[in-house]
Amino acid sequence: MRAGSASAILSRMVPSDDSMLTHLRRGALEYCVLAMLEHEELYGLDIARRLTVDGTLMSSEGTLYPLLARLRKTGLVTTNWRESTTGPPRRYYALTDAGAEAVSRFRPAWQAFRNAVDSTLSPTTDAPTEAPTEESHDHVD
Amino acid sequence: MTTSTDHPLVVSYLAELDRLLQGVDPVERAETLAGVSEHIELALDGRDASEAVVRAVLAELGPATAIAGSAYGDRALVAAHPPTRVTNRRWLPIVVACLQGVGLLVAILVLSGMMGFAMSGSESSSGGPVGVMDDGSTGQTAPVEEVPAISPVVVDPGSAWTRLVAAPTAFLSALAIWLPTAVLVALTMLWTAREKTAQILLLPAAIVILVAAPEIAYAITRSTGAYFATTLVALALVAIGTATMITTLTRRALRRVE
Repeated sequence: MRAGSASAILSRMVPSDDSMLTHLRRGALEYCVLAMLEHEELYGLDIARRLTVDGTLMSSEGTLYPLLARLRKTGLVTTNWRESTTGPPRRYYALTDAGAEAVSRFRPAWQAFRNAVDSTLSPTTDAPTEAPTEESHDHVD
Repeated sequence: MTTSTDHPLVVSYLAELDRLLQGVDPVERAETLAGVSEHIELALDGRDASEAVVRAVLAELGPATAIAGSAYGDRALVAAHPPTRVTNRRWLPIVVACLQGVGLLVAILVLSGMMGFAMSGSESSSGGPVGVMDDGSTGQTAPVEEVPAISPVVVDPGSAWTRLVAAPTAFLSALAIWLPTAVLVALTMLWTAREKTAQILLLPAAIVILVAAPEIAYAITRSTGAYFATTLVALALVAIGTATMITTLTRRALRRVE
């Protein structure tokens, strides 16, 4: 197999960084939102700004709102309107008991998951490593 | 009172989001839209809702398709892109600009025609002047022939009625052009309410200025020269002002076309 065509095929199969992040976020993001509400009530714009601060957890602020709608639908958050002296009234989100419980159960589950992924990604010295074969010069960029 | 969510860019953004979310549970859809709408309002609060600022806020929100994608989760996002409404396409602002130009031209031609009629040309050769400026001084003993004609063209006070109906006549002539212009402006989403008002009032305001300014100058100075000069100045100002305004508004609308 020529090196050129192999890497061409592989680059079409490897997911982009964007879709990788999307998949990773799907599981954890709502729990991050719930965790932010553990000790204070926040309004939508505030949550969105905090989550997008480095672009890792969330890249565009708008994707927060369907998530908040789902959390409210499943009873993990509630909302209440608060008038503001400096501008339009804002909808504040607060954790429900079910939401608080969900976060506290997520934490250990996440840590276990994270540890498992970490150790699989960076093999320990005991794990068998593959010796590079002489004929393959494939490079996946 | 217009809120920030009335800006055309915001309106079309929210409209597209609504359309993309049609397949989502109605309660979730309503809440998502409300949340995004509130987000925009808060983000623009206290800031000048200029084009650049609105675009920046919408860019931070991200494309409507991304929000819809988040709403659909793992389900496939079926987003058939419907064609842009016919009144929000490129042709409209260009046609409006042309109509405004033609309308102004018609109004100016009619007005100058009527003004020419209102000015008497010259005295008849055989006798007294056909018309003179009535400045209230009676008892002129000097023979009329010796009165130097300061300018060959004078304003005839008897033509006051002509000048009075000049404005409505000019307006009526331009009406055939102004009406479709106003309809097009009203139908499109490419301008804010304020911008639409400016477009619609452009022609009537220009006519009023072109007629009133010389009249006021004449009423104050009783001088034909002032009447003439003011007419020219008003014409220049109206031409420059309307050209600037039409260009600015047309450019803005063209930038907003999808």
